[in-house]
Amino acid sequence: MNSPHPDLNAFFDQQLSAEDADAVRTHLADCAQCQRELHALMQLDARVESLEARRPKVWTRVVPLVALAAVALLGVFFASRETPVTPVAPVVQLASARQLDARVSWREGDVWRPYEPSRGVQGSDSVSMTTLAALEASG
Amino acid sequence: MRGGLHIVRGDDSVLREHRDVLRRYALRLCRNPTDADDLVQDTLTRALAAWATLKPGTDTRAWLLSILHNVFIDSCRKQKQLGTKVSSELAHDLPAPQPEVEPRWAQITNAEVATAIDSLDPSFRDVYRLHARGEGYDSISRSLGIPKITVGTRLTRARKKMRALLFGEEEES
Repeated sequence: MNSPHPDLNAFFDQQLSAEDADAVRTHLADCAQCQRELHALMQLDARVESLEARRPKVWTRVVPLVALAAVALLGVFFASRETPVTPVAPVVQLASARQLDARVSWREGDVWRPYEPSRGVQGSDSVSMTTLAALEASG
Repeated sequence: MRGGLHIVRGDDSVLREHRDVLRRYALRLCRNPTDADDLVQDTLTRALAAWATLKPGTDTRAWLLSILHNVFIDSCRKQKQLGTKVSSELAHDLPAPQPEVEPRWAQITNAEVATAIDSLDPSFRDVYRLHARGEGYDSISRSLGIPKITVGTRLTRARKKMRALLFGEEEES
């Protein structure tokens, strides 16, 4: 069997010049094979067009998926977010106002020492810094 | 003829429903709105005359497209004989071909067509789907970033592959 006219698809898709299209029409007048081919092209395209018309548009399928993905991502984001550290009240209470003072006002004061400045407080249980410094110097 | 009269007097929605499809295909064949309208008019006239012969369960659109095809081929023959375009009056003088849907097209289900489309190579499938949605070669070329000539090649190959899948026809290289 011979091949159908090489321009038949282009003719059907309106891609030929007017002159070439006329040549195909003239050919179609006598060529039974090309007539069948054209009929098949018409039937096939009509079926596919009909199916595509029923198929939901891309955006109607994509938008819900995107929305779902966005909600899921937000959920994951909030779930994995670090819980803000709330100040532990007992720790604050345990620290004396003096220690906190020292930590805030003098960087080097923010170290642990086995003694604490008395700062003129009388009657405290702690030993005065002067005494402790003298003891330390004497070894 | 009784069937045709029934349609004209009563429910002609069947034909109106398919008129747009017929006109679209007529334009693809004639490329001229006036000739396309004449072709659709002749098609509907013959459809009305043959309405009684339409077998129950026949795909009406496929049947109408077959008539459109026959009328168009008639006009090609007449045009060739006269060396000019055929007028609608001359077309009426031609022997009316028996409008029949080729059985194999009537038997194919939408599910089979859908499966065949899904089986296509994605590069062919995308082109064919866009074309089936009414996109032209230029638009498809821009959308997919491929040359216009490639659109035509892929479209032709997609159709051949579809027919091979649906009917087992051999694909020509």
